Amino acid sequence: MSRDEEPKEITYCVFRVGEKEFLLPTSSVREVVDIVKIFPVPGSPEYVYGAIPVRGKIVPAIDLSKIYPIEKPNYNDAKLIIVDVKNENIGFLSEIAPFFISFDPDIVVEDVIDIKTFFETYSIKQPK
Amino acid sequence: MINKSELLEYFLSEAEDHVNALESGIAELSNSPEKSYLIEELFRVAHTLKGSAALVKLNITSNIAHKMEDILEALMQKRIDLSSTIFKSLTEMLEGIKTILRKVSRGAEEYLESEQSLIQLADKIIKMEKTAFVDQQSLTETESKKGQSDFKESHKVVKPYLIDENREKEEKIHEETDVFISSFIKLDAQRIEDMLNLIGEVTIKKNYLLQKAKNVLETSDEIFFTGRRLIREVNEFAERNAYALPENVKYIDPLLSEFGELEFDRYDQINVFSRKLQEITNDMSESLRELSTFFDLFSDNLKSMDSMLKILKANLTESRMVDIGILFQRFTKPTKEIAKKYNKKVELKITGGLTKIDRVIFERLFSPLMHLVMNAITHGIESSEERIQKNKKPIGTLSLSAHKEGGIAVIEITDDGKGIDLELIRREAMTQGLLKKDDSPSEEELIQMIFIPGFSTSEVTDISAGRGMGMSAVKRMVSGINGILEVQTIKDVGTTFKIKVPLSLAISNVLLFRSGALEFVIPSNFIEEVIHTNSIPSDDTIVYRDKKIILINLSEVLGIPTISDSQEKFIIICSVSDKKIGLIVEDVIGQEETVIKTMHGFLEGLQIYSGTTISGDGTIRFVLNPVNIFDFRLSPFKTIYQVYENPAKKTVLIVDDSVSVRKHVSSFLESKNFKVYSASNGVEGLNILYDKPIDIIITDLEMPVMHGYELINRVKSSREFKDIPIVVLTSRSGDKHREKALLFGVNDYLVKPFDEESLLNILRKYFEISYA
Repeated sequence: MSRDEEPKEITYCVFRVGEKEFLLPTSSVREVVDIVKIFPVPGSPEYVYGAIPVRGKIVPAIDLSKIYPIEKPNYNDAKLIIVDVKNENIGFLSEIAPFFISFDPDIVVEDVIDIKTFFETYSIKQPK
Repeated sequence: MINKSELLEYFLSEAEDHVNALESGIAELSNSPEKSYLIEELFRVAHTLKGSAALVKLNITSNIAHKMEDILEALMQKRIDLSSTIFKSLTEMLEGIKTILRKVSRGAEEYLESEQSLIQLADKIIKMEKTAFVDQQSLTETESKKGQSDFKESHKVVKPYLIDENREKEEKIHEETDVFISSFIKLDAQRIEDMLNLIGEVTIKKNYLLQKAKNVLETSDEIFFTGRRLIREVNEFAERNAYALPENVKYIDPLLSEFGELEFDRYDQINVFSRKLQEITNDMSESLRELSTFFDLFSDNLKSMDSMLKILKANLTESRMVDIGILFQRFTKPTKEIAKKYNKKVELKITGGLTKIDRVIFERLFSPLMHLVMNAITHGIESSEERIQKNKKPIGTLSLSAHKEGGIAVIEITDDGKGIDLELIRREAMTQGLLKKDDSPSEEELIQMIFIPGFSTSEVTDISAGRGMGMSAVKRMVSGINGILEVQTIKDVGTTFKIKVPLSLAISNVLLFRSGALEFVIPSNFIEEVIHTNSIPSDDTIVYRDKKIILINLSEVLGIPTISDSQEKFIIICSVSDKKIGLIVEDVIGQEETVIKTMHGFLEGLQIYSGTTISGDGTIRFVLNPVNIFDFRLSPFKTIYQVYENPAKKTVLIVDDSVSVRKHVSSFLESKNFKVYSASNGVEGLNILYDKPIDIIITDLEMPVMHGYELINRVKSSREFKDIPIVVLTSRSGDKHREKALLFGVNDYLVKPFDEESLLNILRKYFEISYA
């Protein structure tokens, strides 16, 4: 294999909820924002922590600790990691400002959130 | 009244749409002949073009469009099959119409040389019955394929001059492409929508700036005053030091040695320093003064920008508004045709045509109106003979009228026919099992049955066999534009359908209210009345205009914590087509104009909301859908919480007078999947105990009202609660307290500050904590 064909590394955005770290493909991360004010969404499942307005649009903020077994996350200084998915933006709450990390594509990386599947699984469905 | 040339302008701009739609539709059809729905679309466009052209007396255009319509209808009914001849004919007719429109837009007479040949060809096609093609099936197919390529070629001919360098030709192009230039420009409604959204966002930014400017102004005021204080201090200091200088000191500087003390200001270090401070502070306050003048100006400008934004918004909204009369006009021809077909004599009356409505609504009103018009002619208005027998005018009247009521357009379709046959509805409802034998529904309830999906009387079936659709579909279409459909009918006097729609969809007038600490809005057109009350009836119903309507407490249904104990409430009476409900909310803030955005895709399933709005200061407000909140109440969180609610959750009662302890313990235990109730003293604790099933009690010893020992005593001596384990959580670590507690029957004793693991260990004795 020539040098040019060497597979490129894949970069992930790493964020944390409680003691658990999650990874997102960097390509789908749109931006990271500080949470000034978060509005509850009455009637939604627990994992919808709330919604925040970002440039005139609302972005649901997702609390992964209600989906994964995570103890007492501390969202006092939380950041929202906003991702592009299905022409919408959703955000994941993180206790820390995320950092980026690259892996060789051969390495099996765990805890990567497949955003599309996540959206399909957890977006609120109409009651039948 | 619209004058003729204005009407022509309208027509030309409308016709361009139709021509474009026909052109692209025919092209698409030629590429994929299997898309039969395209034929229907083309038919509809040709039909509209025909009607509008006739309205402005462009008879040749109308005739040609009519022939197109006929061919398309024959295709629709499968009397003829698609062939290259048909494509050729349609394309030629379309080109003919384009030529005419070009002429007319330049002010020339309507004339087309090839008119006769076009019409003859069309007639020939229509007369070709399908049978004629049966034995030539394969031929037709190959022909149709050939037709496609033929068509493509002929289609290309339309714009070949783009690459032509011949100047003369270029001029010709110019002439030809300039066709519809007029004082009107056409704009995609979506672009206006986008602009409106942008304005909404600019408004948000502007409000933010305004708020920030105010903050900065306050800060600069503070700095200004502090600066003044500093100057005063520095001045005093400087003066004191100036006078404190020893008088007999001579200047050391040889250049100044001849000066006496009063002849030249002396500068020692303190003096110099204090003067410098003075100067700096003066400079600073000068700059601050400038800064505050700037910010004053800044907020003034922002304010005037705000009013300009409002005007801009109003103008843009206005630019998307269309006279509803133009829509009404489209019904003149169909009315005549349908009347003729069903052998009825009908006069169409149009009033209030100048009422302006949003273009989006305008377009989406056509089909429901069409259905209602057809319904009125075919089933409402009687035949002349029947009318004469009933002592009515032999010619029936169908009137379309519109007027404004606040932010709502009310459109009425009234016929003076026989009215809706309630007896028929009753019989049908019985056979369909919607009514039982001994039910005695009111007239109104009977009328509402026509809106039930799938409900059909012979009347309705008749219509759906034609071109119409059920009344439930009409209602659905109307509610799709936030509209309400109402019906009134009197036997032998007539029927009136009322469609109430907001004037504009882009900017909606909404009622803003509060439930708990959260703000919500409801589009104003859903709201009948807001009632201010101090007492909510206990049975959750209210009699409103002689009718009992159900009340829904929004905070309860949505689980929003209330923030005040006040008995003062507001009831918002919402009317949604056939249903009225009362929403109990804590505070009504007022009405406002706002941009409603569609619901976020992730939250779309929350049907209690129909969209979101974001206020000037960036507050998210959900738009409540009153119909769905009613259904939601009956099955709250049906699908949503199912996954998360653990039915086997253990319940803990924490009794402690310290909020922080209660909070700490409950948030810790909740994270361990316990359900936690908390009380601040023994009495509250007992109350909860009587109210809720409790699995374990954690209590403090020292508390006001009722202390821990008494609580323990009461619990352990009562028959129903004695088996509930009690854990004491106290700061008293002495043996005396511990022994007394254990004597009282306490199961465990934990001393504050406690660590979470030991609490968990105690709980593990009683429950399996698999998830911990």
